[in-house]
Amino acid sequence: MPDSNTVPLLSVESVSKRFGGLTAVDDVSLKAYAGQMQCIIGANGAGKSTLFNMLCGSLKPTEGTILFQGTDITRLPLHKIARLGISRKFQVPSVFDELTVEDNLDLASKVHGSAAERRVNEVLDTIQLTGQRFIKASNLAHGQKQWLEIGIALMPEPELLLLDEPTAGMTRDETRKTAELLKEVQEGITTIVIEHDMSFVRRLNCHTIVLHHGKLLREGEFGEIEQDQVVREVYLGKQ
Amino acid sequence: MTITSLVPSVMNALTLISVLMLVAMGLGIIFGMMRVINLAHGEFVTIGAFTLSVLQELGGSYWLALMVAPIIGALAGLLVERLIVQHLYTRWLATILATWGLSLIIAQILQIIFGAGPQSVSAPISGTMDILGASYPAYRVFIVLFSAAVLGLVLLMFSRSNFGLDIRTVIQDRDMAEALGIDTKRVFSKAFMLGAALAALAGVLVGPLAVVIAQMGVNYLAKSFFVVIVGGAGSFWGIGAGSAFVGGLETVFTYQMPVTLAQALVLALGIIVLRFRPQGIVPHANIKW
Amino acid sequence: MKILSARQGRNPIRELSTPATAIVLGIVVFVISLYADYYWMMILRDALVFGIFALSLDYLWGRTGLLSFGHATFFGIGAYAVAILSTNFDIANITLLALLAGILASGLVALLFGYFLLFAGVRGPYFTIMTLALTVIASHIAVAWVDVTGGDSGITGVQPLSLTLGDFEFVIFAPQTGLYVALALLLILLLVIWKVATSRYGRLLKALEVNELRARTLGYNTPLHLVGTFTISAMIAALAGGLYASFAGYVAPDLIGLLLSTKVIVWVAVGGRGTLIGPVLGAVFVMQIERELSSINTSLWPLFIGLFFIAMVFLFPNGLVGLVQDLSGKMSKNQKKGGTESA
Ligand SMILES: Nc1ncnc2c1ncn2[C@@H]1O[C@H](COP(=O)(O)OP(=O)(O)OP(=O)(O)O)[C@@H](O)[C@H]1O
Ligand SMILES: [Mg+2]
Repeated sequence: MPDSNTVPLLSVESVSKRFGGLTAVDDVSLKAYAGQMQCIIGANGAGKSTLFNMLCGSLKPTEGTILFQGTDITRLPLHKIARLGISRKFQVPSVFDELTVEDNLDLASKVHGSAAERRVNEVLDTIQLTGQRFIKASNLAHGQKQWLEIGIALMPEPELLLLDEPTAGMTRDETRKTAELLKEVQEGITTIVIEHDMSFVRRLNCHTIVLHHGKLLREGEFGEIEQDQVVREVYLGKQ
Repeated sequence: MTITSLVPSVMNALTLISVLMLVAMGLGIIFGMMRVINLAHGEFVTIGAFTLSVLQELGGSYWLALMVAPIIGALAGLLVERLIVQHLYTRWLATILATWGLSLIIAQILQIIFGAGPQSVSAPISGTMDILGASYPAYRVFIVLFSAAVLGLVLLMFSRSNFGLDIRTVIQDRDMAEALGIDTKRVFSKAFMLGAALAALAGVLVGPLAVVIAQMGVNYLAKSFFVVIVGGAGSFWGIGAGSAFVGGLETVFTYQMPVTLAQALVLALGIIVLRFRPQGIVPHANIKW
Repeated sequence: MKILSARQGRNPIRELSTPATAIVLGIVVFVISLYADYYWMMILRDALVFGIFALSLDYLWGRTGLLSFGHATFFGIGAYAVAILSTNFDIANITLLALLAGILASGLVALLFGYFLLFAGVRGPYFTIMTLALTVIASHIAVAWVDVTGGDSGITGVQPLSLTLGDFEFVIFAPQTGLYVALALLLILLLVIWKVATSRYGRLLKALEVNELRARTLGYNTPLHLVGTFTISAMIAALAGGLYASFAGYVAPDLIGLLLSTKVIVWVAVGGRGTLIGPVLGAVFVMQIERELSSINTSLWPLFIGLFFIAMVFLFPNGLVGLVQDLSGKMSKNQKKGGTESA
């Protein structure tokens, strides 16, 4: 972990979200430093996606503050947060079904004209969909859709990349490819990944946060987390 | 200003509010349950008013119409639900278009049968009565009291009966309701009939005050949808708040300006309210758009 | 394989079909105008004006998926602005100025309406119903504000469009002139909107329809784009309304009411939502059927529209054009299958 003097890129301070009587995220704090990759794990309904929703602004926290590059983004509207450089992949593949793969990426581009075309080519290459360039997104296989959405998130060259279950519904082979892809693109981009697939998290082998009933249960390197008795009981043990 | 001088405006507002609540109740509940939008709902009001007209024409009494109209309304509701709405639950655009088509057909058929001119209907009670020193048309007092009684029963049914509990459970969470063994489609069907019956009842009540023509439904449709959206779908009190907002303001404004301008102003204010309370004045936790 | 997919993505025939059809339409209308008598000239002129109206709704509904059930409000604002101003003021170019005023007024109403609702997140059915309320109230005003709108009988004696600059004077009086002006405006609007629709911005609007949340998380201020599209659509509708009033010479409350709002939805649905030229042809085609049916019995038409809506939902959810496409698509697929099997 980087030393505590450097300013974190993202700093989440005691954030909570309540839906009526249910506290989906309960007093969670975390930090992300430039270039760092971390994983969030936790059982179904632990509050992982809700936390992401608050980071990208589609939900506003009931309490707490979110700082990005030192500025308070807690109450900023969704699209303004996105423009600051926070990119997100949703849990349910969320691409523009009616548009082609190329147009999906193009719309995500911050630049226009030939620069955009170059960037589209680069990203197509990274997500290995060059051959599907002109296919409508609705005609892609499930795994390819996930990659396309990762590509969309990568297009604007974000500062912070939020990936919600990037391997959900993928075959073993696709999962392995995705892990390689992430390691490759992660160079330089701060990334937070939500995952259920333990073998995938093991492969990423990074700083890991465990959410449980909305609370931050443990955090540390994956190796430590995996050995942690409490985590094993509440989460890994169930697998 | 004395209390006596306030009586007519308060009573006028209450008349409008109670009719709006009767019409909007069905819309708000079926929307809350299944996100269904029924653009033929205004025709239930028309059917109620025409029932009154036909029965009086045949020599029947107003009171008979007050009992028969809800039954006819419920049957019409059943028909609409079975023939059209039931097949389109998840497709709002299709529901809107199909029920709108139905609305045009019902209104046009009524017009072909009964002609384009206003139908004659008469109130069962005439004259005025004395309220806190002010004299006020007795029939309007009857509308307010009768609607209040009916709405009281509806509220009781919602909060106490099994049927009401089922409806509230479906509004809360349809999947959970199904998991609990509630036959959601049946409950919805019955709620739809109830909503249609209430609208037809409202048609009888307003008949003597309104111009009874085949095309009268659409005004009630637009207004009661507005009530649902501004007040908040899915709960009794949301409908109540919406009706109070629309009916109350419209009455107040009509003392200052022509009625159409008053309606336009209410629409504008309602739209502004929505900017700040997008889920309506009484938002329901589980109904979002 | 790659070449094949490239063809699927950028279908040059599809992309050029709008300008090609527009040119054909222009030529056909022009040729007819050479032979048509006075009566048919008027019919054709009005059909083109309503074609512009249909195009305005398709720009909104076909691009963004927002369905306005009250588009006649904007048509009516344009029409009444021209009628009221041109009969009350006697200055040069008044009808033209009134047309512009109507377009601006309509845009302003749409802007305010759209700002409050769309920024509050009102979408889908709620938006549609609010537009329905809008048009009901607009037609109430048109009927009840007798001093200004003439009430049920409307306003007659609307001045024709004219342009006077010094000695130069151009008056649109004959139906034929009106027809050419309407045709020119329609073709220009068609091409401009087609250009927008096939541009990156057009794809953004499509993206808003498909998945607005996704577009917002890419940094697009989506309510703003929706309000903008709604406003432009309302202004085009007002242009059509203003043209109609100045050509016909009179306005009446049926130009602002729910029935006209419904009709324009039928035109767009028949022609194929989102196809731009389709709704224009739909307007021409459906209005002709309406005339035929109404000459038998005027009360048949609402029944017919009602049945059409129900039939559309259950039998051909993609509109008549969609139905034809589906059928021909099936046929060509069958042919292709036959081809590969024999190969
Ligand atoms: N908009 C909402 N309204 C009400 N409750 C919500 C909402 N969003 C999430 N919840 C609830 O909050 C809790 C946390 O949900 P969340 O989606 O964050 O879980 P998660 O950790 O992402 O689970 P999963 O692994 O299944 O994706 C759940 O109980 C969920 O039902
Ligand atoms: Mg989740």
